Amino acid sequence: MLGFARVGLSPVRSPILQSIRTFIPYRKGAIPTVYAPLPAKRNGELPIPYLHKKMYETLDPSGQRRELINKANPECLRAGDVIKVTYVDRTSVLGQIIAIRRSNTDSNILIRNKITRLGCEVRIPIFNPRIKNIEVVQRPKRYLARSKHYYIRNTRLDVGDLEATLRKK
Amino acid sequence: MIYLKTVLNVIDNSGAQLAECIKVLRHNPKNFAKVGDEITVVIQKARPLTTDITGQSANNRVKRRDICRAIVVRTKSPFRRPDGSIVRFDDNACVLINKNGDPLGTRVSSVVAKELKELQYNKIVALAPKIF
Repeated sequence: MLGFARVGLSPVRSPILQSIRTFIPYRKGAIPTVYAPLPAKRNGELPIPYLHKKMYETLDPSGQRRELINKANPECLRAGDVIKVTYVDRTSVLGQIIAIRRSNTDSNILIRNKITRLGCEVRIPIFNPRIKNIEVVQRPKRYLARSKHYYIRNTRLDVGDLEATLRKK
Repeated sequence: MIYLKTVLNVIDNSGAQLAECIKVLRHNPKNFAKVGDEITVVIQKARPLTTDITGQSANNRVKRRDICRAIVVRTKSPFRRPDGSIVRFDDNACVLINKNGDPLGTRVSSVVAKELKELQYNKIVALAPKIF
């Protein structure tokens, strides 16, 4: 059929060629309006890092709490340190750090203490606006292995009654 | 998470040492007791009754196989506070109470959770040496 059309012996076009012809762009009427691109949101910053930045601005404007769990800071908190967390309502919690969970403004510290010979643990979100101060009371001479000390529970490495030992000193 | 068959330490001087939960009160059947919830317990282990115990603690003495009401004061399962902190104790513990909700014993030997204060168990909180 193709050969037949090319030769042009017949005025009737072959159906294949016809379908190719109709594929050629063919515009009728006015050209559609094309708008200029919108300006990039947040100056082109990615949404999630931008959100974290905004949250830090409200929860930790001075950057003090961020420095506490920043591993690059030589004074940063570590599992094994004894800390005292003081709240705005003047209550406080004393304990040895067992683990630090670093997750932006969700970061928290797990502290353990023995009260009346019973182990008590509390996981404290460090960017809680009700926390007034986090103070390092004592640092060990030698740190234990691992960054998470879950394994010290109910072993000879377990924390003692920290309030009593600190009072002795 | 205190439910049927959970064994709890009894931390008052009513004479009981270990108690087994047989019913969580005022909860739906699939739910469990948390700190501050009332449960029914069976005393599994008790200190022997001696003659030198006198006064109120002698009257409220409990024996093995007694059935009592109790308030959960500590749980091993972590629970969340409204400020986002999560608290966990090393054992499950309870304090025995009578029908009026007053503790049977006259002393509480170890730390209890802060939640009891908000739930108006003021007598237990007043007897406890420490609140955490």
